[in-house]
Amino acid sequence: MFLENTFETANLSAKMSYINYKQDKTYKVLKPAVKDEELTNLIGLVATKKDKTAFSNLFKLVGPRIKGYLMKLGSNDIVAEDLLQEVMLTVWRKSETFDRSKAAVSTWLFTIARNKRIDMLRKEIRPQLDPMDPMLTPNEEESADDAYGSKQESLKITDAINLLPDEQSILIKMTYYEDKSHSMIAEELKMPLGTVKSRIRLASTRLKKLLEGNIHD
Amino acid sequence: MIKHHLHPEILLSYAAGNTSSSESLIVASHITVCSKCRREVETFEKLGGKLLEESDSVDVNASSLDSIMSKISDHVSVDNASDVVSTNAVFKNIPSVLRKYLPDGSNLTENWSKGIGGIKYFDIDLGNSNQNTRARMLSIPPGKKLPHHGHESQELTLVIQGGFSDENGSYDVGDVAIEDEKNIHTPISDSKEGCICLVVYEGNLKFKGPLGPILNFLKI
Ligand SMILES: [Zn+2]
Repeated sequence: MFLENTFETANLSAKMSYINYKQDKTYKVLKPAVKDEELTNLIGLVATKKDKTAFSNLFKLVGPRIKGYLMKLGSNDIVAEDLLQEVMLTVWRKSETFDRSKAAVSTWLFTIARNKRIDMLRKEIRPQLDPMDPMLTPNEEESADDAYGSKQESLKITDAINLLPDEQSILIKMTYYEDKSHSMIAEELKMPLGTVKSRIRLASTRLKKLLEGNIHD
Repeated sequence: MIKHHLHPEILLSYAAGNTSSSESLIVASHITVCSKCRREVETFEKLGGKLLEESDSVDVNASSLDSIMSKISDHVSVDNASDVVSTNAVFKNIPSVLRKYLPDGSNLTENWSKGIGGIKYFDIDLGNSNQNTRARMLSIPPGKKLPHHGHESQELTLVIQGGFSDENGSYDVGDVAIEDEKNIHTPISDSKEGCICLVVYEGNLKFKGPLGPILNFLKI
């Protein structure tokens, strides 16, 4: 399988870059192709002025990556293009809901792409958190310092996933890249559902620490 | 203060977008009132954002940009007409993500079905008959002891009003009880307020007839 073939080398190089990262704090593991600030500014122009030039530039900057992500998740070229258009239409319509103090541009785009995929592929509306719900409890205090957008370099997350034990990383990949539910994973790997859940629980706890560590360091 | 939370693996699945509709419903309802789990979901969405950021770029067809530019030119701002949420006062203290699936009435449970022992229930239609998890609202009168029972598979219960307690502890508004094959318990609803909860469970209905849903719920 694809994952197994590429796995050993990917895992090794991830471990190497992690070691480099550990030894030299200035080692830049990830250089985002596009700066978050640039994207934030473009979204701001779309939100406040319905600026079509800014929108067109935004599309050129993020479109190819969103398409690449959708294709990685299994959409063919035609479906990925369709979905990309849906995603970008939502970006146009909902640009004013983007709050850079709450999330990075990539996180916001990810949630839009995720929801559009579900709407289109499952033909259903996913129940989800209403950000305007008056019942919403206030955030915990510690989250106030999450200046997500300001951080330009961090441990590459795909490397972090590869740093997990194989038995955990494959489950995370199947969750994010193959869109498989816990029971689908259990069936495919012929593994008890409880084992799938406990391994994902271990992996998610470790990834959470890594991601939260990145925010504060 | 919320004491009983969802497990990280279901929060991760929700963030990645592969929970079933009924699981999404209970996660979204819980994270409305639980900032701890909401923060975890945000972290896992951030992970998704990073994976998107690290994906390889794939050339976009030149016609896509033209097509979308013409769509936004035509676009008249009509926002979310479909998302009409009832403002009926009986729904206060119900997360809005859940509210829109519940029937209107002069009180919350007026149009729910009647079961045995004063229990009322309402099966939520999520339009997902091909999925094997289901969502049900349950209203249990005050001080009611449910029969000692086990579970065939995982069952998640979110307290919406009142509360209940069992051998494992007490569950108040916003708390989630997680039961699985290993648990056998004897829940008792709050002596003053009873308990209104959202239950998400796996499996197929086995009992038919007017008592069926309650028997199935209790797995007795
Ligand atoms: Zn929680």
